[in-house]
Amino acid sequence: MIVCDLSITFQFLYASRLLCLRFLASALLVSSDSFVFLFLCLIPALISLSFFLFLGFSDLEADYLNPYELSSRVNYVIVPEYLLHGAFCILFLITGHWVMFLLSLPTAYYNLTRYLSNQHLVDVTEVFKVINTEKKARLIKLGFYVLFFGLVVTRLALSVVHAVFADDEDLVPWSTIY
Amino acid sequence: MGTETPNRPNYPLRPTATPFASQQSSTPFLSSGPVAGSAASAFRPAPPAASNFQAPPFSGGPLVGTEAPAYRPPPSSRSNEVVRPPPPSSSYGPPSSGFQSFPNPSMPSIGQVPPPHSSFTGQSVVAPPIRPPPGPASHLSQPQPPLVTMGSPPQSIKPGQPNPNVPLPVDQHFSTPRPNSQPSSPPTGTSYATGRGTFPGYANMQPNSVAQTPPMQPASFQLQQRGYAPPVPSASFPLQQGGYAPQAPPTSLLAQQRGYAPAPPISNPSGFYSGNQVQQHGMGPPVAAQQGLAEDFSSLSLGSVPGSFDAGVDIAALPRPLDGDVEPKSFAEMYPMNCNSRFLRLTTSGIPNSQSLASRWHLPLGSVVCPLAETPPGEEVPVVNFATTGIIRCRRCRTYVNPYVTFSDNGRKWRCNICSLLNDVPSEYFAHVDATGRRVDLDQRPELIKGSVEFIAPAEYMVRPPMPPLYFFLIDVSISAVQSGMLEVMAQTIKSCLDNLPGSTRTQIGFITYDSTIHFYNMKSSLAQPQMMVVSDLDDIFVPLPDDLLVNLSESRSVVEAFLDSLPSMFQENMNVESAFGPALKAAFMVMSQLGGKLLIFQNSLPSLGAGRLRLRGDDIRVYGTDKEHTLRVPEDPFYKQMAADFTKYQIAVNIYAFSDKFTDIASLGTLAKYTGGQVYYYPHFQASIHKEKLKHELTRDLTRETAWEAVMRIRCGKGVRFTSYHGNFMLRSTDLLALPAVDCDKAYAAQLSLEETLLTTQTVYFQVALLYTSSSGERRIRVHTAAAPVVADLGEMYRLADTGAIVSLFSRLAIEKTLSSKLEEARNGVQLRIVKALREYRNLYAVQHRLSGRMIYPESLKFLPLYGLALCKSSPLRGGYSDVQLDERCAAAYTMMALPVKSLLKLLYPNLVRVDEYLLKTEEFGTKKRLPLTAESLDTRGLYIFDDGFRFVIWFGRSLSPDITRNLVGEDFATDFSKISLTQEDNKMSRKLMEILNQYRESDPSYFQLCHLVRQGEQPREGFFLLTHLVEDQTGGAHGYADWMLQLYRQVQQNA
Repeated sequence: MIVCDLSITFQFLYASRLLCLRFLASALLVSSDSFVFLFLCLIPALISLSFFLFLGFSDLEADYLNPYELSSRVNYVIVPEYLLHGAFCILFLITGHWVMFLLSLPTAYYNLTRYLSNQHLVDVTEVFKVINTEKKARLIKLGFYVLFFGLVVTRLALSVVHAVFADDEDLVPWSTIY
Repeated sequence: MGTETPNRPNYPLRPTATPFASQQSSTPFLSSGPVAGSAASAFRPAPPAASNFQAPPFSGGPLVGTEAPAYRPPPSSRSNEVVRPPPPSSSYGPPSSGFQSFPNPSMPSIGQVPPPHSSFTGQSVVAPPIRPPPGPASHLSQPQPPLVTMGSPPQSIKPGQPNPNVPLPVDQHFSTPRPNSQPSSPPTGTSYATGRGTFPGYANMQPNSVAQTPPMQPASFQLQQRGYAPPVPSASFPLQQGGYAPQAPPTSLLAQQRGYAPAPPISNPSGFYSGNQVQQHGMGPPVAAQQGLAEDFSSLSLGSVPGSFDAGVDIAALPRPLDGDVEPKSFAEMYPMNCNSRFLRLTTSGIPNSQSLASRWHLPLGSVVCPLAETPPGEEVPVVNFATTGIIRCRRCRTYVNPYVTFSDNGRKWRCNICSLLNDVPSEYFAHVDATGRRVDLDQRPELIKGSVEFIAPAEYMVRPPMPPLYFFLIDVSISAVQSGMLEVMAQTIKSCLDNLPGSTRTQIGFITYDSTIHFYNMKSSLAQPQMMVVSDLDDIFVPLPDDLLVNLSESRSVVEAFLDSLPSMFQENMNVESAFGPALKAAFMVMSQLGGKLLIFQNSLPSLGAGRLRLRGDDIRVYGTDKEHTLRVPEDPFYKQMAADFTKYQIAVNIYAFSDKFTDIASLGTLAKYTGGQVYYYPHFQASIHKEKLKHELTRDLTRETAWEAVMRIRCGKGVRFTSYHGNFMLRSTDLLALPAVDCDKAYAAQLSLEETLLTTQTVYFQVALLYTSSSGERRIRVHTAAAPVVADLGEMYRLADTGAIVSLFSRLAIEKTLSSKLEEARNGVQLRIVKALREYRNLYAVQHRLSGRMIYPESLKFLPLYGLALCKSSPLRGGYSDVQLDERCAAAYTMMALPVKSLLKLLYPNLVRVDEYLLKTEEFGTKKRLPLTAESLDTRGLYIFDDGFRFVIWFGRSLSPDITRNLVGEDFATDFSKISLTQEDNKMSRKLMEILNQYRESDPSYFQLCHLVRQGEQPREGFFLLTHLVEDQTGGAHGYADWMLQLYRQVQQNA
């Protein structure tokens, strides 16, 4: 029984790993170089934006910044940030990176609801009441983008590895599927 | 049921409250008897037993009489012998010799004097009922005499109190009429309540009473011993109890009736305890050692017999703040160098020493600061000028030098009390230190003795030259402003104030009027008449003149006066109904942004043109009760918040005067005041003929009161604690810096504390409020208030040092803020929940050890908290739903309450109600009148009452009030519609007297003008609107009455207890 279980587990692991690897590799390979480049640029842009905003709130808390400056700063970049993320999402979609697209969806949804309910702009009069939640939100976003960046870089590396070592015939059918 | 207030320190001081109390205080002997009873009542696990004791001595009398048949004194106890149980039949009948019966007037009249009781033989005195039971005659309970006789000599609660003979006390008691027994005083109150058959539980009681048996007593006794007994040697107690046991039945009756007798006896112990407490702090008078066991809490027995009568609360015995706001004194005595409590009040003066302790304190932890509170003559804040030295401050935490810093190293160093950094003393400030560590020049240094000082700030505290006082008026001149007469009253008032504006020759002034266009006025001093310039381009506002829109008042005085004279007539024919409020606001901003100052806006209609135009909302009843309800109470257009932020940035404070009889969206307009440290004045349905005086007085006060300009305020506190949130009308400029473009004595700010460290190691936490401002005279000043508070490790201590006023103030601000993000009901529930949590926590502290099942216990310091909580839930900002309060009124009240100092807030929540007809008829002086509980039962149809909540007077004419009085006060046409007359002084003594009284009240509370509204009994809907909905103890609409509320709290406290 145990042996049987083990073998099943191994099979599963192997299959999933295979699937995963192939998926990653194919995803990057299929997309053209320009897309890869875009991803690599977009994500750092989002990371830096999030970091900038987080820093702004921290500065406000430490009194290096007054609420007026902060709100003008934040409100200036908040819509571009949302747009950037939207673009990012759509890119994933149209290049067929389903998993990545799904992963980025929650944030997009969050942004959208904030925007639609008109809460995306910082209210200068009440900024100190939201400072903690805002900081937390920024931090989570930051972590999220960093994770994404890691994923994309890993995929890139993997795809390069595959491109070098794997035979093309094997990969092509997979990529066409996705 | 009895309310016990064991540690009420002042009980003895207020003997008048209850006849019994007086007895006690005056005659120790009596007290001994009652004491036992009271104590018993307080502790008794089972209410009947407790009531038992109390009843006989005081209030029990009447009750007993009515229900006499029900009880049978147990024969076994020795007291029985003495006691003569009334024959059952007699109880109802006319008073027999043994019983005294009071005539019970059907209406509760305060003034009623109990008829003299000739026969006191062995009968306990009945408290004169404030609200006598309608039907039943009150009997004196016989038990008293027995008590007396029995009166176990050994137990004297107060050491040194002789036990006088029974008769004497009784006599006294009888002889002293207490026309106005304070309802607050528990004993009397109970008696009344009990007397009234209205309670649901009442009917049921009787069987219970019968059922009551001596066995209950032992239990009660035990309790006594544990909890309160301290004063009496335990041995004596049992005896007493035994002695009293027979009386138990009567008491049981009381209990049934829900009578709470906050028995005088209790009071004794309370006095004791208080003493004890004090002692603990080292300042109290010495108290007998026996009191070691003393606990300080009050309790209220509610539905003590499980299941039998759940609804039973003795209304009259419930605590009421009829003395107004009573600040805790012990704290001030503990730290005499603290600033006065009018400047800074902590919700509890015991700062918890750990986060876990703080989390068990479910009430808000924080303070209410009123930095510029008015000081009575002689107590002005001293001004200190460190001309050359520079202001002495801590290097690290920037704390100002204060009485709590310590000097060391022979006076060369000083240690900051807040961060304990050792600072150098500048050589100019150096003084030797004597052997005790005191500086030798202490008496010349007010900053080292007084908790409140004002420093004159040198140039480094200025970012620009101190601004002159600046008043700018933005006046709506559309048709409604003209028609209501507002324009005229306003112009006259401003003109009359010109001489009294602060700042003498530096004061600047300017005007803009607007309807669908914006009118600027050139007031250049060289002109004879002001020049009007009209700007009609609302999308792109520009200021037609660079200067001369804002002019120096003394230079352009004649032009300004000419303008004010002509203003009403100028727009006499104006038929414009539009209001370009937003553009006008922008224009005013452009004119003022150079200097800052105060912007007074007179708005008569809904802004309808240009930026910031608002739409009609708030009349949609469907929104109420949904998740969108709160959006009605927040500004609709972000324009207003943005403008408010800009105003604050440029040191402009906005005061809104709104007059419309239609919807004006105060929620949006008020935002301007909220974030600029301003104030909202709302005069719905303004009519010059009626509201003239009010507007005049309030505008005058606004213009002439001492104002601090371009101010910032910061509260520093010791290591380990931090102020985390602020509540009030201001804008935060950084996490702990409040920007206040203008501050005055009528503004208070609240802040909440949190503990940063898990454990505080210091013994004392210091707070320092620093307000940096420009005075009207052009001086930059820093007003510094310093206070110290002990760190405590015990929750009970925190409760003991609690300050109800500050807590209620914070509560109301939190609740109002909550209405901005959730439903009214949730805000109300929030208040209730926190009170319940706090009481439950308190209960857990004491209930187990005293087995106080069946009673509600609460700290003496917080005895009014439930009532204020109820009043808060019934206040305009939180009350009811759509139809209960107009949206505008609700928002205006909310903005006002966010800025009110503690005293005014408490008065608004629990207004004064006094009866005056007797004073008008008599010749005596009008002294301090007894306040009445706010319930419809306090109103006698033959009386004339004044209801005063600090914002308006309501004069209530009883239906059977003598027409003479009405004629004298209102004039010959007294039968007309009261809504159309305003009270003026008639040429007769009565009217003069009434006006005197009103003026006296007004002078005592000058921040607002109390307009008189005359209301006749039964005159709907005015009576309901002006008075009945404000009787917070009554059940109105869907809201609870006081008794129900207490019961509900009690039940919730019991859950999961």
